[in-house]
Amino acid sequence: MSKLVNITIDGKAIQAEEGKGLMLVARENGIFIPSLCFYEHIEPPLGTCRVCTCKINGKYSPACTEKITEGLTVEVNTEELVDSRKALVEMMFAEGNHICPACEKSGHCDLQHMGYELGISSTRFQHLFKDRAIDYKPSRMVMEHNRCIKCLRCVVDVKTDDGKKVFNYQDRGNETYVGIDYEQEEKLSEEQVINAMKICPTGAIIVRGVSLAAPFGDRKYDMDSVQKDYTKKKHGHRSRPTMMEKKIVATVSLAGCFGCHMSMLDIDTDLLDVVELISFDKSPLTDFKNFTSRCHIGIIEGGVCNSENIETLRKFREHCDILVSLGECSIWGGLPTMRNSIPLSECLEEAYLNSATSEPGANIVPYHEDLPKILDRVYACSEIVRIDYFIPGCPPDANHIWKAVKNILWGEEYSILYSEFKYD
Amino acid sequence: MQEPLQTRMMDQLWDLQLSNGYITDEDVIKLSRQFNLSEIEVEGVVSFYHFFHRKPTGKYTIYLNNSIVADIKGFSRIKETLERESGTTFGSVDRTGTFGLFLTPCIGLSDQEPSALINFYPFTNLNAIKIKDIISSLKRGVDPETICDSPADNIRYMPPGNKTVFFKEFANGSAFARATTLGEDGVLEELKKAELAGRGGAYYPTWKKWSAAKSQPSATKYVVCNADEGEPGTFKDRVLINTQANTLIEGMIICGYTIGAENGIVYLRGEYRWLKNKLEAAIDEYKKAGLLGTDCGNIKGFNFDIRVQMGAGSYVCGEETALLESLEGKRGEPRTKWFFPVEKGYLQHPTVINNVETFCAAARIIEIGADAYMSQGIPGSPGVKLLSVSGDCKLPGLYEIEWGMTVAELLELCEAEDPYYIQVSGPSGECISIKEKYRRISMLDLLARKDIRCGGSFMIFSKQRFGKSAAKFFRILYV
Repeated sequence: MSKLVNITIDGKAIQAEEGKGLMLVARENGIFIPSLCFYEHIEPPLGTCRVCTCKINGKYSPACTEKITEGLTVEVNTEELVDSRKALVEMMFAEGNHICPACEKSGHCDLQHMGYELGISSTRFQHLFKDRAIDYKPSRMVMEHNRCIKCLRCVVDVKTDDGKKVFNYQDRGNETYVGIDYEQEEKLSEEQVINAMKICPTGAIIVRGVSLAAPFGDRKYDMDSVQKDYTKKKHGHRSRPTMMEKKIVATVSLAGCFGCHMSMLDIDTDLLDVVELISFDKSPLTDFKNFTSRCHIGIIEGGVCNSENIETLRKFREHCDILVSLGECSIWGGLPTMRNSIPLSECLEEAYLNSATSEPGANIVPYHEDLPKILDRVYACSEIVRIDYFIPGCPPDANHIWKAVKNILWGEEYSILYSEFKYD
Repeated sequence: MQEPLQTRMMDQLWDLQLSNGYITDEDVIKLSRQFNLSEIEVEGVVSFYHFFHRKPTGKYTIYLNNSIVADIKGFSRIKETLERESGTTFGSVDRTGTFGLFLTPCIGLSDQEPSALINFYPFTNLNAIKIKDIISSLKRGVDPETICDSPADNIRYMPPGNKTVFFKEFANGSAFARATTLGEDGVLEELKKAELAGRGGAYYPTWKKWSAAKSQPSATKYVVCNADEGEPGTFKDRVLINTQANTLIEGMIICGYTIGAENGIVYLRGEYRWLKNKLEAAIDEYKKAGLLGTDCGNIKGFNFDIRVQMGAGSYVCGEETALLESLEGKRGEPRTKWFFPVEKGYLQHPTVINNVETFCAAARIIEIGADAYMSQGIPGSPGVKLLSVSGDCKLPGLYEIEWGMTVAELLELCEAEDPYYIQVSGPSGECISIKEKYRRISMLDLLARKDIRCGGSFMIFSKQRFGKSAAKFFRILYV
């Protein structure tokens, strides 16, 4: 064993073995440094995801590529670092097409989990919606290029018994993607194939037939945060607000499924508070078609997919003091964005002309001046009007919604539990 | 030591690319069998390099430089003419399979733009008439090798009073002979005294790097010369290889002698393929003279050999660990900084990687002695530096300046035309305004707050050049 040296992580003095990796030392001492590419037995470390970026001896560098030396000073959780770490993960969400509610890996996914850990509710970057083909050719796997974050784990770690690579980077620069060798993939054992899926920090490598083996609710990241201290945070004070002026709320579902509205109804006994404190204006709950007064808060579910949605959304902006995006579809487009990488004409043809139930030649694409026009792609609400707050989830937890709304309207202190912030 | 087979895969890919114009599916399968790799790995290597193609590139493959300096010197006109004369557009091959047109960022000829490579032979100072001549000759079946230009060296300035360090006559073996009398530690002392620092632009003290490699217990060590001069606007290494290949070789021999290495490799960028023969001829000359090979320079037990490895068009391979990956026949992607190359470099053996200019300077310092070298320059930054000057000036070319010269003096020397801003050390360097022209060029200031540290590229832009177009080119370069 090599000699012990003194280091400090976030002000905490620690003795550690010289030359050992910083990530391991932090982990042994119960300090959580987020990372998506670090994998204990891969050496040298990959250093690809940059999520573990810390301030090390005054310089910004990834913790995973740092070896312990005497006097090492590491800052992990300064405000700036937490924010830039968040930005890095947000970039990954904006760069790929990560549609969590439709993903087999949901609940088992390191990237999704990291989003929750870092409290990402929307990305500050515009989603790219790049058109990427899914590779169905391998016999036992599916390579979902939409979800790959190019962490290099599979490239380095997945090899056949005779030492040949199964995955490798292809092309370069912006166009880089992870290619899979069909011939070598055949040679992998069942166990190796499942391992490939497991080490993938996202849902890019999917094994046919086994990817949904664990039901939702029983999955790795379903209930608890890996940051144990996180859940110990003090619970927000839940006193009933005393007599207050009734606030006026409007809600709408644009290109959504009404799931978020359903979720709103799940607040159980708190509904009594709602009746006391809030009156609804334009909303599917009241069935008011038009605004009758100015509203304190407007809650938007769903993204924007047609001209009518734009009109409605603009009216909401006009009539509401505060606009809240509720749920994934509203925040960045969500499930409906699955069509964003496909030309609109193809979508319409598939839906109205070539679908399994349509009779050849008998159907047309509906077109009438009274019908709203479909947009070229699905937009996030924030791309159309200014949105003040985002409540993520698919759907968001009822308590989370209610707490957030209370907080916005009355400035009430609140904290959210991991289980409320984690939805699958 | 026998190098593993994969290290020579790049050579085979070059042969296939040059003989067929592209790399076929069968080639990929054949190579994967030969090197015992999976096909995807070979495919990954091929798709990484700009000069390797998986589709035919025509009998004559033309790479036109689209760097910012070319843009100033009339790139768009040349592009148009090339497309019209050859009957195809950029990024494709004409119907008869004769001409393939491609763009490439900076081919190291910024002092004689617009320029292009045709089948990797250089054609410089292009204009519409010249293009017409070239294309019609090629259509007649003339070999581009016979009509290509031999790029001028354009050495515009050397310290007055015959005080040049780099371009004096050099007698093969003279520096090495002095090195052997100094001994290994003596060489390190000399370099330390002369404060020689890495001339690629990072300015890490050369003696420290060499002595770190020397202290490694490994029996196998390597000396690698980084001749992947990819930063747009720089061409000093091109001139050095063209005129001073022998000093470069000698610098590498001295390094090998000092650290105890037996193998040297020059990683030459694909764009300089036309310099390969010249460099190899110089190496052969050294071998014949007994200065390379077994017991070289009559030093018992000192065996040292040098070979040339071609790159294939990748900007990032100028980064030392990416260069090592590329040398090993892999995708040229930077390694995690877990070890220094002097600890684990090429094939995980201790490796010294230095820039062409550093090796040349080391040979010259040993030849003339640190004291003579230090008679120029300024305290803390002694000696001279080569700068590649291009852009809006009457005399673009190579300038051997004494450290400490101001930007203003240099602008006067090269007869800059209405200079407005200067991009120093290429796109990844810094952009300075003409208001800062009294700043000195030296290696004193690590963060370049006061003095300017320059890796070699010095691009001058006049007031009429639009900052945006430069920014656009630089963006294209990096993505």
